[in-house]
Amino acid sequence: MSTRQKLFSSARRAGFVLFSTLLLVFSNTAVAYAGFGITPPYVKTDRLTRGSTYHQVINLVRSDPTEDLKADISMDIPGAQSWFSVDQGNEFIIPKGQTQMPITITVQVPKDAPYQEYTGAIRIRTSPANPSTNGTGVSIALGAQIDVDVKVVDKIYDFTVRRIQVADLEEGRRIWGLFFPGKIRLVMTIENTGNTVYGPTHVHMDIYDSQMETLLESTDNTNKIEQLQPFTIKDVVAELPTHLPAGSYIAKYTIYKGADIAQQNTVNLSISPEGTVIGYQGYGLDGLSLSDKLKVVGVLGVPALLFLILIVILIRKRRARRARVR
Amino acid sequence: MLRMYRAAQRHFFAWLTDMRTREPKRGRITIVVLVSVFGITALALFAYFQVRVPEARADNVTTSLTVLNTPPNWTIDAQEATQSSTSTPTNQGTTLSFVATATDSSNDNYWLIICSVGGGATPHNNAPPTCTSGTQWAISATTTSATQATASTSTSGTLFNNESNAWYAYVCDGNSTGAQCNATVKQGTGSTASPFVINHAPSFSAISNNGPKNPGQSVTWSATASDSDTIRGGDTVQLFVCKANDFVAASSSCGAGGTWATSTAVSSNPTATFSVPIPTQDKSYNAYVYIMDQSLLVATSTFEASNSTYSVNNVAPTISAATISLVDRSGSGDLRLVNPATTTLGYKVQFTVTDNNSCQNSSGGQEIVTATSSVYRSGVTQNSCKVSTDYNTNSCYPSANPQVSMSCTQDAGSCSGPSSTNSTWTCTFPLWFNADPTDAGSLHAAENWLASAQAVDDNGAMSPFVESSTGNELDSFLAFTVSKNSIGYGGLQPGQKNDPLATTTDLIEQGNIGLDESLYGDTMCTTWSGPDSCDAISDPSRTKTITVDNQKFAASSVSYASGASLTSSTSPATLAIHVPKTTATSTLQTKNTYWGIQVPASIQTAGNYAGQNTVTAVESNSSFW
Repeated sequence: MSTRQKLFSSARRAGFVLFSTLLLVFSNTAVAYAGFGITPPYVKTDRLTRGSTYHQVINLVRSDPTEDLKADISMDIPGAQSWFSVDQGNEFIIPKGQTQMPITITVQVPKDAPYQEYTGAIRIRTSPANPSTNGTGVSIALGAQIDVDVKVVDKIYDFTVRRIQVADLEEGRRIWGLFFPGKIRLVMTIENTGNTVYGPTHVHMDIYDSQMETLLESTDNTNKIEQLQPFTIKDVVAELPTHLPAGSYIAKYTIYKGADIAQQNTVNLSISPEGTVIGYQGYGLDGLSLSDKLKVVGVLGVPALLFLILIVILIRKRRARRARVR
Repeated sequence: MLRMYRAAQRHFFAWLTDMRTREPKRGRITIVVLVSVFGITALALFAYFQVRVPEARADNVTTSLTVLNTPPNWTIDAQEATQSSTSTPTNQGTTLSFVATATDSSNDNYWLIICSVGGGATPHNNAPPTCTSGTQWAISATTTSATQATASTSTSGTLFNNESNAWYAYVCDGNSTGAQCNATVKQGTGSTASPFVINHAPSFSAISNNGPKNPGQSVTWSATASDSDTIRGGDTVQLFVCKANDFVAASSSCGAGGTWATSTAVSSNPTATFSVPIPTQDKSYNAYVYIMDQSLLVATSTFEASNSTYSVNNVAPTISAATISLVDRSGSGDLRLVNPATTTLGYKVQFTVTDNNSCQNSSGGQEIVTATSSVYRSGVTQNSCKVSTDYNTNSCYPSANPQVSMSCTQDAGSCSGPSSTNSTWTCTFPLWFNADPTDAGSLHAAENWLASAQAVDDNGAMSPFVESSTGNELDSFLAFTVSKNSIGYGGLQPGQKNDPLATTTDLIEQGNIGLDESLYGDTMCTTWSGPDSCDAISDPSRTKTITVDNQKFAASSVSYASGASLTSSTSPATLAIHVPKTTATSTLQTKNTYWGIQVPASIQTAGNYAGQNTVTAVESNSSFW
């Protein structure tokens, strides 16, 4: 290389260094990001079954919603990635002013999915929806990882009782010699923690006096208790008849799942006098005792049956008469 | 006399003629005898009149006759107007009546008089009769002959102190000149006969009750009372306790106000018991007491119809553990935090308060006036989360600490009235961002969050501090920030590098879990405009693009060679930075990531090279929290 060429090369390199130095130095900014978060940071269940659908709601949150925020979702779930979907899609905007955005991750398990555990991650990356075009330096994008750990198993029947309440009720009433009992409505907040439609199978109640010294009545639910879809939480109601008069009692309830006890505890039971609870609806004919039901059958059913038999006989006689005439 | 003689003479001759014509033979002897007798008689009478009759035998003869007054006669015997007997006595103080009917031949008015002994009645001209002896029980008003007389008397006073009292009835007129009483005495017949029987009022000298009592207990009234009558084997007394002063003896029951209690009929000192129902408001209740004997006669003492008030105690409210629930701000599901580095509002503790005095007080207001609650991680336990100083944003929120800002109110409409014991309450409170999670994989995965509640009524009585029988999970909250939005590597010549790694970015934990990092980067170039934009440049010799692996990172300032190479988004690199969970809200946990870059020697284009690195927060293993 000639001297001229060497000088030219050195000058070019120096210029580059000077230029790049100047430009790279000023790329260091110190502006703080607003906080970003997700809850819960996982999709975890060990109770998926073949063909089931599992939903996990995850809240995306941020503390300073001064601009639109773009969210990009990427998944890395070997063996099960195709089962997963996000209701908002893989790219969406968290609008300006919105501090929370729930997204629902749905896991649709194939009917032939192998019984095994699947782990992986779903990543959410956020960046300004309208980034500055200066493009100086290495910008930082924030992201959060949703850990995935799901297991496909055979059917599991299970639920937990989160809460119970007893609705206001009135004492029973006697009409036309028939006793219509009071209706205890036990409201249960149930979480189906299994992977199959399930719920309380039966509710039993032992009702004691207010000192819990004397057992006054034992009763069971008369209605079919609603069953829940898997992985859902819902209020369901058990209706139990009571023949006790107005007063205050202590009820020991037992919620069954099959032959097992899901929850057993006591609760105060207050039965109000007839006509004092607004909106209360007691039992109809379905709440009658067996003897009262037999009375109804006897009073209404037997005459009705006899009437029908009479009609049949008359029709047959008329037909026979017509046949003879022909 | 002369007229009689002549009448006899006429009859004789008529008979004589009749005898002669009918039986001539037999009648002749009889005729002779009768004529003889007649003749002798006629002579005797003639002689008499000749001697006695005044000489003046003219047509004008003066005669006079006095017909005396006669007493009235009984036409209907005297009877008790209403049976007064042993089995159906007359209650002392009521009116006792006797009835009878008499007829006076002179049409004089008459009196019916009832005496205590049978010594007769003394008539008086133009005045009512009196009993000849004994006591006058009763006398009628002057009564027209042949109409019923009624003699009535009040049975008050000492005159009627005896139970059994014989009575004798007489009827007398009040003739002006010769009043007469019928000598015949009457004493009635059958069930309305003498004697009449007086039932005396029971004695009643004291009343008390064993109140105050709690709802569910019994209050008993005890009376000091008895009855002195013995004719029926000893009268019984009964105690009635009425809600109002409206006892009706005739029906042996309290009036429209209602009945508290009734005793059985006993010989003395009756007691009556009332079971105070649940609920019953705590206050004093009027209770009017009455003593009555078996003949429906009430006592007359000052205690009769007095007010023996009883009181119902105030009892402390209770809370069923099964009714206490810890509820997320969304209304269902696990507890979730949503605000990085600050509090999240709107969590609730809901529970049912039971008060045997009713949820409504006697003034119509709330019986339960305040409630408090504490929320805590189960491992902390209720006893360690009660007082103000127990407050810890990680694990314990006692309402005793004002910073907790726990607000408890009774749910509107949850108390349906005085006949209801229950009301529901909701306490609302915030949670700090660093409240410990209890979901799977967290440091306290074996625990959950519980709530305890306590209620206070309008008398200051408190329920126990009751812990919920079921709790709730608090989910992990991954939240963070970085204080910079870019990494400045400075000015470097091709072939130069940052050695050691000096540029830092921080990872500031703003949630409730520990954090690691997942990092990936992008190819850098002078025309970077977005992710992967530099990859679109064809630069096989790498004269104008800096690939991502030229960037390195580490958890400390290590040499460039010791740093880990940054990767692309297809396979992010993990940095176990182990940022701990923040435990003090004023001091956020943070750790730095050290960065460095080497400018490849092949780079020939000068300029400002830009790119983008993604810092992804990852929940770290709980052992590093």
